[in-house]
Amino acid sequence: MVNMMKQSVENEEVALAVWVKQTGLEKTFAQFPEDVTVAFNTVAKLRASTRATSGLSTMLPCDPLTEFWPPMRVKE
Amino acid sequence: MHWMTAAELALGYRKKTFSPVEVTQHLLARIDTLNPKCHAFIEVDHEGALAAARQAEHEIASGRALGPLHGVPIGIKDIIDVAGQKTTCHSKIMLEHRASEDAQVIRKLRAAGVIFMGKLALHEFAIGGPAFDLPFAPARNPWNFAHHPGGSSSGSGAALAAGLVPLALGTDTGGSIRNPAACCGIVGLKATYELVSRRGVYTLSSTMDHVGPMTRTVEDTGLLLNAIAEQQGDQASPDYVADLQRGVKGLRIGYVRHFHETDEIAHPEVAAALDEAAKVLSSLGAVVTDVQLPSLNDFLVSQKFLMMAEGWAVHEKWLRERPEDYSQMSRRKLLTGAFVTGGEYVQSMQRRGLLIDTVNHLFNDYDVLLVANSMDPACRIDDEAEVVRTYTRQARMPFNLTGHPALALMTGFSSGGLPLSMQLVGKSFNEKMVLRVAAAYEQATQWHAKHPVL
Repeated sequence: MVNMMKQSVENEEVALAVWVKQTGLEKTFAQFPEDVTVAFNTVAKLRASTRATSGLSTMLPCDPLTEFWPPMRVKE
Repeated sequence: MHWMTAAELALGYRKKTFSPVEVTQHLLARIDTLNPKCHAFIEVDHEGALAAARQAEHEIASGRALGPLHGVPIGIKDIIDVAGQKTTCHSKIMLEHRASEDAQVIRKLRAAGVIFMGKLALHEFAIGGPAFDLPFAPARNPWNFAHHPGGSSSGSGAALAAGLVPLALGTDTGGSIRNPAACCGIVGLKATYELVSRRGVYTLSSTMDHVGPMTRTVEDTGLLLNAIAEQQGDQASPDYVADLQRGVKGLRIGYVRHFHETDEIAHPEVAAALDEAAKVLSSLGAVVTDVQLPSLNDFLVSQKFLMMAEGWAVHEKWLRERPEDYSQMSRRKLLTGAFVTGGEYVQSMQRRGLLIDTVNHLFNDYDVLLVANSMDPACRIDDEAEVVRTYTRQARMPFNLTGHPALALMTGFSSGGLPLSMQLVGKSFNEKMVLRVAAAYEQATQWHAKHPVL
């Protein structure tokens, strides 16, 4: 049986390792692995909250992702 | 003498009741006594301040007064360049950095004849604090030294509340003027984006950084803004104190209740003080009605992505090469920007445009918005979990994102004896209206006359 929890943790670790390499933070990660991980997870949480709320609340009059920008103005 | 406002000091100088030298000596002595407890100042310029005071005294006596702030002492957040002095940004990284020239805002203050008393503590690089792993101790709240003074302009808030200076400069990227204003019970104004120059001020997030006045009264905030505001195009600069006595009768005030009632539920004492402030303004003749903005989270997500990415752009090299020289708190906050994608930055800028338009639209129907500031009274400075929890429970950052002027003003005290605060938000470049409403509220409530017993 596949252990989904373990797999998810492993995926996150791989993702973090890729990001660390891409951003040239190998030295920082070697010195402060916990701090880099906290920062990585903070962004992941923020990203998830954006997706969960689909960005803007319904009272905003248009969706920036489906319209050209700039210019984009509030519709009357 | 130490609780006098800048306006009262100027009057005293004109009447020769006391002199700039006497005031400066008194405040320097008070700083020497109280700074070991509140850690508001990183560096005090005794000699420079006294020399400037002697010069101001001579000029005023010979009829060459430069204006209402001539000879009035001020403290400067140590992220703003003052020629010949260190700008450490409260960091180990910038510990030996000495400014070769004045920031534009300092240049303007020199022209106004103020007396620079020294450099004030902050959260490292205006983001990482309160931190105990830096070369300087974090500033503490004069209302209770065991508590957080807010930040990042922590020293500015503490110095004002402790009666060490009547004026201070702060900077504000996600609320860093208005948070210490809330915690320390003072007035703090984040003016419209770029009304006050950022030249010579160390960047955190270039599209959201603001420089602004911090004082103990609305009038002093107006006077300081008169001295530091940049002229807008070919328009004559407004006199920001001209409308302070006009009252609020007939003004339309939108109360953004959902920020603190549903989006982020405020501490009951904070919420009650906001409702009371709405009642006071209503009793003074304003028409106060509830209004709706997008949710706090809509603002927060865009503001966070932008601040993370822009902060990373500034600190990227040091974070790779000298990570050990940051406080842990700064390291954790600034490293986030490494993980923000280009797409997230652009989408945040897109959303920002919409949010600005939505707030602008509201000012077709309202003169000023009444908005929560911090959702909680200041917590203990040594309670790291509570500092982290309460730091983001605020309604300040929407206006860093949109650039609208937002003023923090005291609304009373918690049952624990700590100040509470609200924000008044105005149309871009209409600081006069914000100050007018704030002055009416201040005169009606007199919270500004309360000071901590030290």
